[in-house]
Parts: sequence; structure tokens; C-alpha cells
Amino acid sequence: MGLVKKKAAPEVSPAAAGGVRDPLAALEDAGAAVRRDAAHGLGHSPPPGAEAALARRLQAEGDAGVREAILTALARIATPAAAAVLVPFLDREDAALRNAALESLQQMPAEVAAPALLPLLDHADTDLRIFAVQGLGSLVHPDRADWLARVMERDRDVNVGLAAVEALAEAGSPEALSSLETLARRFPDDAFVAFAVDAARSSFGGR
Amino acid sequence: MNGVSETDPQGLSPEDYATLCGFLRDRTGLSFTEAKRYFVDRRVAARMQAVGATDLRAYMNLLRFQASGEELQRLVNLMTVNETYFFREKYQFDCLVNSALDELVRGRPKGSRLRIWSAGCATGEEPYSIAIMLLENWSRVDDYEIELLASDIDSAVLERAREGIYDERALQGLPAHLRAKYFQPLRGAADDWGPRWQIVEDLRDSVDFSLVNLADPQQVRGFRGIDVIFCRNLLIYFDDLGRRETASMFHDALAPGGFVCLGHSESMSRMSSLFVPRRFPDAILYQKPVDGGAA
Repeated sequence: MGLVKKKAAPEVSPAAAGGVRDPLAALEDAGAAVRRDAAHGLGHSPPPGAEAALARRLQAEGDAGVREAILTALARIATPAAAAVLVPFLDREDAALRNAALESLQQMPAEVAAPALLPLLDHADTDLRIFAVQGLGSLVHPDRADWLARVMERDRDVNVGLAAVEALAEAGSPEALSSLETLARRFPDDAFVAFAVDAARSSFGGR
Repeated sequence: MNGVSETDPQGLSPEDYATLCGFLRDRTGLSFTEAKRYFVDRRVAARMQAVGATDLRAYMNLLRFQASGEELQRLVNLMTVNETYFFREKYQFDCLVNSALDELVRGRPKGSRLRIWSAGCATGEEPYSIAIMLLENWSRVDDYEIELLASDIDSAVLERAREGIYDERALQGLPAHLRAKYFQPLRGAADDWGPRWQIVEDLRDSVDFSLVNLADPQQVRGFRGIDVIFCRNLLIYFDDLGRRETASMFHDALAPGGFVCLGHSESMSRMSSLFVPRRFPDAILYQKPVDGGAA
């Protein structure tokens, strides 16, 4: 035993030998590997209605690998419809699913993801507003700093404002310094706000 | 400042090139002369495209101000990626033979198979290093059938990997007794390239090299039931979605409980939530949950 001498080529699994099949139908197959391949295929060649079908499957899917393939497929499709079907998953109890849905939105082009996320800045649920800030803060878009500035200047919840500070500091946006000062004035008694604003200010300062 | 793109034959302007090189020199010590212009242009263009930076000013802002420093690390990795050699980042091979393999074979009968895949093997230093580490440092190597797979997207480097011929620089990290044991000097090879050595035939026959594009699911379907995947300093070439898809593909390829080993500056947590980080004494590996990760 020990090191095995090489063979001609890797063995091909039975799944690889399968013929071409309607990917929308395959998405509901009993085999996880088939569903995973179907999701991957839909991500690269989406027929009409692929976004809705993927979202339906995602709601019921129990296999982590298939879920990931669906979420990645939606990120790759990156149509307004793909962004729209992901938004409801930001409200799910399942933190892994919620975070993965946000990650998919973040990986879409900004002009697709932003219209789906911006309305959430006015949502009554604080958590959804934080997710929206995290999503918008990671996008490469000329209005990104303005979106985050608006949050720091207007949002009534300090945690939403701090999420905006974090997004600004991570992406490096020294042009938003005045909004940071505004946030500090709005929450003068919050020690963590003062700390976060100071940290962001010093990371931009003198460069 | 100007933008750069794959289609822009001019790349960075002279001023922008000087600015970028000065910044890199200050931050990293890496020095790039005008002779390295094309090398730098291509890599900067690839990273700007990956992060969606529309011009060099935006990209420089990211490099300068990003709190995590992640993008600077990625760019640096791209600039140094050709520096491969035997036993590079050896602590990960130590982790393999000191911890991971013993855990993987726990409960497996003697004689069963272990599959190790070097994904993005380039000219072969990594899979051959794994082979040597197993033979030299894993006491149970003869108890199992160990299959070493290695793949790359570049057919030219695969051909060199199969030949297994290396110069002094590639062997710099190898102790002399291992060089004597596993390499043969090539007679009359002291030409413009300097002296060279070839991996012994027995070892060359133990690594199964194949041409594989990791981004194509059809090409990776043959890789199933893998116990350990080494994929180091390769995914820095991919964009976020590409990394996420590749991580998902590794998840499919691995046996339950199998491990992924990434480069020292790479983190699976930034790519995928399918894996669990495992801290061993020598290194951190990323493990596919034993239950496969069912939700």
C-alpha cells in the first residue's frame, strides 16, 4: 500500500453520465446532486421564470449544498427579478440562509442590487434596515456614500447608524466625515458611537 | 488617474504606475520597475474588475483605507504568485501528517483508500511535496492506499509537472537528504538555467495529473470522495462569485469530514458558509461537516 500508482483519468460519477434534462424539472429531483447541478446550470443559462423557480426550491430546500448552489445561481443571474426574490429571505429566522441571501445580493452588480435594497432603509424592522445598510455599503456605486450618510443623519436607531459607520470605514470613504460628525451629535450620550466615529475618523485622517 | 482594463493596451499612465508602485513599495517592500509594467498592469486590471473599481483612484482608495487590508493582501499575492517551490507554507503539510490524516482514518479499516487533490498544482511542487511528506512523516502511510490527484487549467505547466524537472530555486526549502533521496541530478543540465534535478520516477508515477478548469462542473465531476483538497493561492484569481462556486464545488467533491486547505491569506469564511474552520496545532483547515451540512 502507500502511494497508489496513477491511472489514466478520474472516474466519472454516474451523475456525469446522465443525459440532458430540463433544469427546471431537475430542480425538483429527489437527488441532491441533480438539484445542485440544475441550480448551477440555471445560473449560467437561465430560462424565463428561473428566478421564481429557484426561490421556490430555496424555500423548501434542506440540503446545504443545494441551497448554496441556488443562492449562487441567483447572484449570477443578477436580474431585477433575481434580486427581488432574495429580499424576502432577509427576514428569515435561519441566520445562515439570511446571511447567504444578503451575500448573494452583495455579489450582484450595484445597479441591480440597490433598487431591491433601498426600500428596506424605510422598513419598520430595525434588523432589515441593518441588512440593507450592510448590503448597500458593500456595493460599488457612486451614490453609496450618500445612502450611508442619509442613514447616519436620519435613522432613529443607533445600531443602524453604527452599521453605516462600519460600512464606511470598511470601504474607505473619507468624504463621509461630516456625516460621521452628525451621527456623533445625534447620539451624544452613546459611548460606543463616540468610539466608532473616532475610530473611523482616525482611519481616514492624515492620508 | 486613468482606469485600466484588459482591452486597454496602454494600461496605467506613467504617473499612475509610479504612484501605485510607490505605494506598494512603501507598504510591502515589493519593488516593480518599468520592466515589470505589463505584469503589474494585468494584475491591477484583474483586481479592479473583481472589486468593481471604475478607475485607479477608486481602487487606490480601497487599498489605502480598507480597514481589513484584504484587497492589498490580494494584490500582493497576485504580484508574488509565481514564487512556488517545494515545501512552500510547510506548516500546512505538517498539519496534514500530524493531525488531519489521523483524524480522517479514525475508524477506517487498514487498506482503505485516501484521496488527496492538489487543485491548481501548477508545475507540480505542491503534489510532490505532499507525496514526500506522506512518505517521510506519516507513520501510517503503508496502512492505506493513498491516491494523489493534481490538476491545473494550464496544459503547459502540467506537462512540466509530469516531467518533474526543477531548478535550484524550486528546491531551496528541501533538506539535502530529501533532495538526495527523491531527486536525480540531470547530467549536462548546467546550461543557462543552471543545474536541474528530476523527481524520481517512482514518485512521478504516484501523482495523477489532469487538465481541469475548476469553473466547469463537467470537468470536476470525476473528483468525488476526496479526503483533502489543497487549493492554495489560486482563488485570488477568481471574483467573489467564482470563489463561491468553487467552494461549493469543493464541498461536493469532498467526502463528509474532508478538509480544504487554502493559502495563508485566504479565508473560507469570506467565500462560503458550507465549511467549518478547524484549528489544528499547525494550521487552520476548513472541514465539510460529517453530516454533509444538511440544513
